Amino acid sequence: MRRGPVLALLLLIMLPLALLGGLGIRLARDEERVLELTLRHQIEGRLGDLADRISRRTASTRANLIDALLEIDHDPESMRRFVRREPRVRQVFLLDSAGTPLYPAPAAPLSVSEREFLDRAQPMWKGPVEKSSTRRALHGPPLDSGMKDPMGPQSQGSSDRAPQGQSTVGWIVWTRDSRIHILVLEALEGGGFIGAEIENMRMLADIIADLPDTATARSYSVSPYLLSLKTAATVPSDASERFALTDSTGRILYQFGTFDPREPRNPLVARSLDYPLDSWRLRYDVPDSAPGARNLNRVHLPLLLGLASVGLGLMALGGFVFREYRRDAIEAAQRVTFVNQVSHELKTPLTNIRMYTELLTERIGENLLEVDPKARHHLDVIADESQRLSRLITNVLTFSRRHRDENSHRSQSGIIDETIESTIEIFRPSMQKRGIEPRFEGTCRNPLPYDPDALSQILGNLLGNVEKYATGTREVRIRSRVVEDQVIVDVEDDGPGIALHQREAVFEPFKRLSERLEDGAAGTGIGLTIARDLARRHGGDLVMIAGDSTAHFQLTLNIATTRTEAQS
Amino acid sequence: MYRISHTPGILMTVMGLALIPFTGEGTNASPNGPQVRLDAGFSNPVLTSGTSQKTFVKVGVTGFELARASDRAPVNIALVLDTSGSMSGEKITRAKEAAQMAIERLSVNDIVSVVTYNSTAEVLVPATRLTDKASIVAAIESLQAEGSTALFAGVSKGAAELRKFKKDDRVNRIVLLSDGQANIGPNTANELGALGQSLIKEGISVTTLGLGLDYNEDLMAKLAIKSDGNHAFVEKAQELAKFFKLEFGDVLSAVAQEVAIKVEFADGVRPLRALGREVEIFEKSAFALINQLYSSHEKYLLLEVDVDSQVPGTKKLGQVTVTYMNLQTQKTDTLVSDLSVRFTESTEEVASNVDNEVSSLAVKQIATSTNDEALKLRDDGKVEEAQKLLEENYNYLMLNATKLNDKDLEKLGQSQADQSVQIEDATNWGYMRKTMRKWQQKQTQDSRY
Repeated sequence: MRRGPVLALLLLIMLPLALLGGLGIRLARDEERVLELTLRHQIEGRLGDLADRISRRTASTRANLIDALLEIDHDPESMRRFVRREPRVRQVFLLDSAGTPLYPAPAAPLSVSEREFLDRAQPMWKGPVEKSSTRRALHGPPLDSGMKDPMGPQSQGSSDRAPQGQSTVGWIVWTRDSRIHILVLEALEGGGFIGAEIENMRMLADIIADLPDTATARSYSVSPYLLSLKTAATVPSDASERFALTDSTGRILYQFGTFDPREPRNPLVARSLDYPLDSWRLRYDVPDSAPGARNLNRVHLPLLLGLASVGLGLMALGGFVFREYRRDAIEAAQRVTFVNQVSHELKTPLTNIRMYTELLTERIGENLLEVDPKARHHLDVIADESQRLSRLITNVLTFSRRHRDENSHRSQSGIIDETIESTIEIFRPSMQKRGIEPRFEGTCRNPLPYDPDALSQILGNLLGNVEKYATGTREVRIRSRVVEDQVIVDVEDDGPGIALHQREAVFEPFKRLSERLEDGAAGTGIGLTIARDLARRHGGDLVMIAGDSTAHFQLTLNIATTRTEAQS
Repeated sequence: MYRISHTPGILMTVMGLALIPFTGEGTNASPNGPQVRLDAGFSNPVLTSGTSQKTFVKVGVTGFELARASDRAPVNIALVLDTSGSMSGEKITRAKEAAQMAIERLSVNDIVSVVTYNSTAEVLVPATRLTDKASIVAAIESLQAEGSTALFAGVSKGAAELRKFKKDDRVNRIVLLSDGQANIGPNTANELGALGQSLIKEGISVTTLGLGLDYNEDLMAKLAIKSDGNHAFVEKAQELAKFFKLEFGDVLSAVAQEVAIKVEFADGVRPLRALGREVEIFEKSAFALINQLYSSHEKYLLLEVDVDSQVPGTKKLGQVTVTYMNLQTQKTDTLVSDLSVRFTESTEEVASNVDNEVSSLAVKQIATSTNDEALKLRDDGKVEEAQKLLEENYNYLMLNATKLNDKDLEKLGQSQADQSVQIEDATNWGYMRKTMRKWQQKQTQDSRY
């Protein structure tokens, strides 16, 4: 079986499959991308909600504290009592309109914690404190210039840290030794300010209390929502995810959700909080395998199923075509065998006919002419036609063998010119009848190893063509010569010739240059093909030589090759 | 920093003086129902005149006796349980048993919530009246141990649950169990201490039970001390039930809470420092908060004061005001007591009038802070110096035990001698460190266990 058709069939199946697969994957990718964007949007919504809760907590803490601070008397005793009872503050302070602390006053006797507060908040009192006493000045980032210099690069004045659109009014935030310090501040009617230092840990504890825990977070989860987007049927119980709150160093302050990564990792989505906790961040993590991977599987499964069914259909179709093709091939092969057998069967009776025709001619001899002058002509026709038929059969058998036994030829020593002459003699009578005169100029009189049958067949085919097609030809010139290892035989007639662009085409099997009936020529269309094949098998070639109005075939036969092979 | 080598000297000087004993004004039974007893006095009720000197002031408050157990105040308890991976096995089983047993002791007026924490915190049982014990017990039974230790989140959530039913006449308490290092969220002793300090301002104490040898004793002790809760070193899981029992014994016998003690001094008297319990000290006053007083149990604060030279005669050096929530009468009561001292020229009189009890307490607290210094030295790898300091502490306690005729001091001294030997072994240091932290907490907070 030939590989060509099989490959073609495979290609026919694989190509659409690959195409469909490629498109399908692209579609799946697009869908995944859409899903990812939806997921991101959902997560951002959730994180935004969490950030809002935290903002509400910080805002209400400030509002409550300021209300309470404005309520109490502003003497040290009252303020101390306030600190003792207020869980959200570490320390309370009172400033004059210039920003100098009145309480805790550095010069007054202070408790240890009050003294520590003055040290902690030192950047607030030191340096060139802004002297403006208007509410506006302090409601911006107050005392900003005073805070920056002593703090150095770690200083994070409230103004340059606060994003646009967020209220920074009434907060003072700075970071020292990666610890965040948060103060609330309010201007007093009579000038000066009152404020409090927030207890960070308490603020965090309150925020944690506001945020969902792992149990209540199930209703807060993004994953089930996402999964329900794809299919309502399968919501896996292990939809694991994590929301986390981190400080400026990335340390996790609080987390909820069932995903518990041990290694540090990049968040899927993250955002920072609003002022004053804008150095803290919220983040969302999911395991690498989910939910993206899960969605991908779901998209891919129908795709794979579709591809598989298309593939199966194509394969069935391919199988059918393949079977048909094979049946045709077998039938054709059978036909060829049949033709071969018939040809073979024809060969023997034809040989007998020829033999007996010759015998009859010999036997009757000249007597026949006396009896019937036309009888001799009839006998000649029988001999000619049987010879022609014999050549035809030889051609058919040679052609049917052309793919089977290449390079097979039988070399024997002989004189080339003798073979040429005997072949010419066979054609001479019929040619002369058509007014064509064969002329032979031979120079190969030495014995050489070659295949006389092949040479005879090639020459026969060429001369047969002359006879058939070269109408109006006066003579056909045949020349033979030896050049180095090659024998060159030229066959040239002065017939109509062959157009330049068709000169290679004549060698193709079943090719006839003219289908015109009036040509009166008949043939199988394999003569030149066989002739060239035989020449090539003989290590030579058969080509057409360019000429104006002549058909000039040049045959070369390699004797050296033949000789070598003959010796071996 | 007060050096141990100086302190005994001062005490000796102080005890060398003598005057008549001073008894603080106290009330126990009154028409308004049972009252907390206030007991304020100096280690030397009689001081030498004509010279400035240092002495100790003790303000003690003793809970009245709870007549019947059924009279106890309702409690509002949040059990915050560690369910991290290290708790798996016997620890979690014992913890569940102990928690369930504790729940069984509570009654229908009490409120309980259960928060668990591992990698995340989870409110297992939101704060609820104890009408359905079985379901709470079942919820506790379902606990499994896995994951990390988000201790801060657990305490935060526990506090939030407490606040839902927080009332002045309920005993509010977080009982925190942990066997490991807090590794999610804030995890230093200072951070948890700050949270504890905030919680006590609203009357919430955190009792910390450290289980096994892997918990962070600094963090657990500080959280307890700052929030005026108890702290326990539970070496083995089998002991958990015992410590839950002790803790609930405390909580269920509370008779007064939010005990605010204010000491105001007259001119010429300056508070220098507090020994033991944390006290806020101002120029002429001191302030302390004790979260709960238990039946017939005394808690106290101890101040070292500087007294200027005085002429002979009795003089009022200050006044103590105590306000507290009486859990029996559910009223806020106020107790007032004067701090008076008699000045004399007679050194014999000063020497014969030493208040042994106050002096003992002062010795005890000084020894406790010395113990903490020894712990720090041992932390720095200075084993020999730490051992030497503990031996000095032993000598100091023994000397005063004899002088003051106090068997307790003798016991404490013996424990210092033991510790001095035991801290040498590096493999045993984890255990000893926890033991010492617990020991210190018990002395400073005057815990019952």
